[in-house]
Amino acid sequence: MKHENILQLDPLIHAPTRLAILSILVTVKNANFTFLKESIGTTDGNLSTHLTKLENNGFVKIKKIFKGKKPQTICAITGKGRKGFKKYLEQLEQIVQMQKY
Amino acid sequence: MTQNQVQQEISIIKEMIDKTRKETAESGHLFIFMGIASAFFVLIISLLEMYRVDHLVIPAMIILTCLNGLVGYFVVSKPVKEEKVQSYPKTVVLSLWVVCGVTLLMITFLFPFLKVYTFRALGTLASLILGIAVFMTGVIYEMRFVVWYSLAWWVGAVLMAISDSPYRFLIMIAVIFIAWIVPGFIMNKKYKNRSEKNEA
Repeated sequence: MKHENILQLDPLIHAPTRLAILSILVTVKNANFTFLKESIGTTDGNLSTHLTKLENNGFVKIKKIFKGKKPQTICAITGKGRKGFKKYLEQLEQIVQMQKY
Repeated sequence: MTQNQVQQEISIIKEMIDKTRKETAESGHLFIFMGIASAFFVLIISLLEMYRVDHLVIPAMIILTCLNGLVGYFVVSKPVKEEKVQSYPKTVVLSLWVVCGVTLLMITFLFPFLKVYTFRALGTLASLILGIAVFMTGVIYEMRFVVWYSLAWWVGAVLMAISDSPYRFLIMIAVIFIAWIVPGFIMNKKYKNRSEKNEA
């Protein structure tokens, strides 16, 4: 893999928190905000910021619902997010292969 | 990007997937509670028929069916819907069991009254349907032992079809135990072992 390919690693996904968010969402139908926060081990504000960035770029969709009287934020990955994550994984794999040789 | 950075990213991905897998693991509660409720249903109805308390059979079937429905809703469906994470396999399995439940309702209440078949065929037909549901659950969750145990439903269906004994209902109860409750306990044990391993 050439150096210019390394530079093309999607900066949107490259951040650890966003990478963690997408790693979770790609394997499930949806996950709520609390689960994401607990699994990633981050604060409400930090998670919100990263989710907003992913949503603004069309990688995740966020829905706010009420379960009884309790508000819930439900997050799901989009098709674009899935493709982006898959491409990111392929690039990581190429880096690993390149570093072997 | 250095090798360390790549390893770090791969670790993040792996850790998140593991945590999600743990959260969405099947606890086996569906199998255990629905199995016990169904065994109870079969036992009560069969005893009523055996002791010729025919006038209580239909009311008992209705009450026990409602009880089974409540068990299914409160023990399985509601907790699944309230989970922090909705996984595709669980959604599919839940839909599979809802459809199975509707079909069982029809074969239990509708078709015998339309005289499509007698009540004698109920055990056989129910076993066939439950065999499909258990088999598919094992396939979807990739639990081979559940798939193998599901074969007992079809063996039970054949045995009930050829048996003339008034104790035929015991075959159904045995099948429920072997092919529903036992796999449920195995699932539950694996689920608890995984939880303990993650907490350690």
